[in-house]
Amino acid sequence: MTASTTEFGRPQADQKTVPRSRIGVPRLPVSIWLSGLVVLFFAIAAIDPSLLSTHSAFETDLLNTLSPPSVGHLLGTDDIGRDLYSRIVWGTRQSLLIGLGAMAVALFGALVLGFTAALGPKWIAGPLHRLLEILLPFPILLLALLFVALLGPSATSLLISVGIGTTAGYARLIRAQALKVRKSGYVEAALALGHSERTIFRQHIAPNAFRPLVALVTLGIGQSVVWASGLSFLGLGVAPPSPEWGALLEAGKASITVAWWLEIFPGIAIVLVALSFTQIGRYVQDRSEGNLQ
Amino acid sequence: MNKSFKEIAQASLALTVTALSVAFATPGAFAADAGDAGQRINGGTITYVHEQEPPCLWGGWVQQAYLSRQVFDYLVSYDNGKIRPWLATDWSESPDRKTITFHLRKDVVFTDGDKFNADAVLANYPVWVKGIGWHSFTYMTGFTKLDAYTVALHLSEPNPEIYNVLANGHYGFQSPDSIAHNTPEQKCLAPVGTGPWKVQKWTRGEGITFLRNDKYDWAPPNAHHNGPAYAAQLDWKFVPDATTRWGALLSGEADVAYQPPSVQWKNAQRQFQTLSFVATGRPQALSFNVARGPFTDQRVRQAFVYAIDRKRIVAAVFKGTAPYEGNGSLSRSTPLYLNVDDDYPYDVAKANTLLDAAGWTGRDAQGYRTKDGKILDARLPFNQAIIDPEGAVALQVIQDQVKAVGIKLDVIPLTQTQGFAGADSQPADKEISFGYWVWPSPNILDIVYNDKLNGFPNGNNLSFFSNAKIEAQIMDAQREPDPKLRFQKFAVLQKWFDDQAIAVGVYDFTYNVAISKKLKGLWQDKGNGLLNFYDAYFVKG
Repeated sequence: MTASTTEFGRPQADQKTVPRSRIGVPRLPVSIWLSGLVVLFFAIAAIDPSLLSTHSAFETDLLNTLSPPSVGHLLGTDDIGRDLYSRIVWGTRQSLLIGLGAMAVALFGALVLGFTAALGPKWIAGPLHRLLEILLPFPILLLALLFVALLGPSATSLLISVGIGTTAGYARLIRAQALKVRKSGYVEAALALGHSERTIFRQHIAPNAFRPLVALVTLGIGQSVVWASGLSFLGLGVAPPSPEWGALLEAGKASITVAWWLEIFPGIAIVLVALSFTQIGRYVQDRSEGNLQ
Repeated sequence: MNKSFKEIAQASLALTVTALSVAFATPGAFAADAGDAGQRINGGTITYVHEQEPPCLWGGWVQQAYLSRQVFDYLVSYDNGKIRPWLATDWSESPDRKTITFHLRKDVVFTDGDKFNADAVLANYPVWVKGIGWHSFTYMTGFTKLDAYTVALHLSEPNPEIYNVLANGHYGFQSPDSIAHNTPEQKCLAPVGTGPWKVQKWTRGEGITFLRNDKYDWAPPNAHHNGPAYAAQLDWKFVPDATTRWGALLSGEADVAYQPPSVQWKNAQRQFQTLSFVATGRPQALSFNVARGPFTDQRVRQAFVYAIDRKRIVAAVFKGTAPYEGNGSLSRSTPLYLNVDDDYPYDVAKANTLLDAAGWTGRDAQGYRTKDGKILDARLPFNQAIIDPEGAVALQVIQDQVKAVGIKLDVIPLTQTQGFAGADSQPADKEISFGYWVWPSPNILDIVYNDKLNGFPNGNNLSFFSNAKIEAQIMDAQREPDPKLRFQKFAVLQKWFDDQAIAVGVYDFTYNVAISKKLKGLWQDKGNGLLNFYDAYFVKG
């Protein structure tokens, strides 16, 4: 399957559909199926955790502290007897919301900055481009410290700092795509046909510049979850007793030699989400670039 | 043959005597601790990893006393209930017990060369008044010079525990020259004392390097040796995370680690040497806001306490590193302490009955109690420099347990900066406070329940309690000359505060350290638990 082009070189959405089996199930790689299942599980956990959890995320049981995984507590209990499986399930919403929220912040900023840097007047586009180059290597950790100092440690601080920290990369990509599309034959043809700049931007430049971002955004959600968890682990994010995954890792680290499950299972949850979104993102990317045969 | 045997015997005896003489003439030649094994190494660098980094080396916070104790010396030393001489050789009290005359040592020199004498004592007093916010609760009003090496300390009230206070790490002496000429930053980061160590460098966020005071020769009698410290250098590192401190000790990067994670305490006792000290003063206690809000009602306060299983919480969270403490006013190591551990046993039914009786009979959708449309909601902000992560975990259990009786508890963590800047400290900001107050005297009651400090609202009074009659009773107990009657009066007061549930204890603030087996002689002062690195030394092997 290859990407096709129409007259004037305008890329066209691949007309070929995903192959299906005899019973109508899409023929996707196993890794994509598995990733989809993981995302589905955590999506349900985020939407309605009570469907999947076995206990309350906050209910303590002092007679059952640091219990290893068992039938009663699938992933064991923490230092005050809270069920770890249920805490991971209940923590999904916050972890994913931070990931998605950070991506939303990054995307909004990237669209405004990227298109302005590409299509805006020179006096603003030039300095903006330089600003993006300066922001690109700026460490997210420093931004997080700044926002935690201003807003206090919270999900909002995490969301803003991770979102702003990743904006520059996406903005540069949008700028490059917008510049490429602007010089393409179909845009020149549209100009020759007398279409207004606004129409050309809305119908040609924006959709075509944005398309490669769909895959990157999917990849970025996983990365944002990892970033947010990392910052919570460092104490810059959500505070206990929140079951946010990074906070779970932070709370369990003192007990790692006597209760391995407190670090391993939240770690696995983070890795699974990051890997799943990465797999799906790559698949979408390969399909959009026509690399899949 | 007999002659030669005699010659050999004489030579052996002479050698033995010489060896013993050399050994005893060498400073610090005595064993530092009974039962200490191994051959001592003079010199070396002790690395200690501690949790909190205070703003200055000296001040009114106990975390500052831990540091000051290394650099300063004190008039007297507190030795397991006995007061021993230190910079003062002896003292006497006036008949009204409000004047104490101290005779000072004449051979003490500050590390900048200044001499310690009566003028030095007088020069330090204004520094104490200015630098220690709670100074007035010592009832000291000033010193007068009687001669070059004699001073009289004046008190506004008799204070039998004034010696404990003078020994507790806050009332050390700085050189008059440094007080007069050093910059505020120098006085904050590297004050000049007479102690066994002097500050070489304080790197913010990392630690302090102390160098041995080679001229030191005035250790208190309860020290294990006299003369300079055994080790040449003390590296005091600030490592806020308990797991990292524990890791540093395990890897050998540190020789002593403060507050290892509770879950590792049994390992620490197996693999290392350990020291523990229950701090005097007030334990980690819940103080209810009795000035406004739902806890003005005694029944609601008592219901809150009945709803929490304090003994089990402490056992589960601290795993033996800190004892349960029922008394919210005095910790078990404080003089004249009253044990009320069995009051307010865990009793959810009783808590519910009390809340019903107080009129909190409605319930919202989440099960929280309501009254006149208001939720029974309590805010509990806490300073993370005062309450460590394990204390915060204990608060999470309390939050869960009071939810079972319909009380909504909001636990709000504050950073060290926020906490010390006074965030959430007013009566309108909170319904419950949680924290300790290290103090070696039963007049801690005056500190934590007096509504005024120097004419202003007393920031140490976390329950915003104000009762002139009770305050008069506290001062009456403080002034009581008969020790038995004094104990009874303080016991009545402790029981009253407990019955009223104005403040209830949860656990005692305990200073635990784990020590590498290659380091011997380290000990804790019995007033504040201050570590004395002066006597610590490395052994071979």
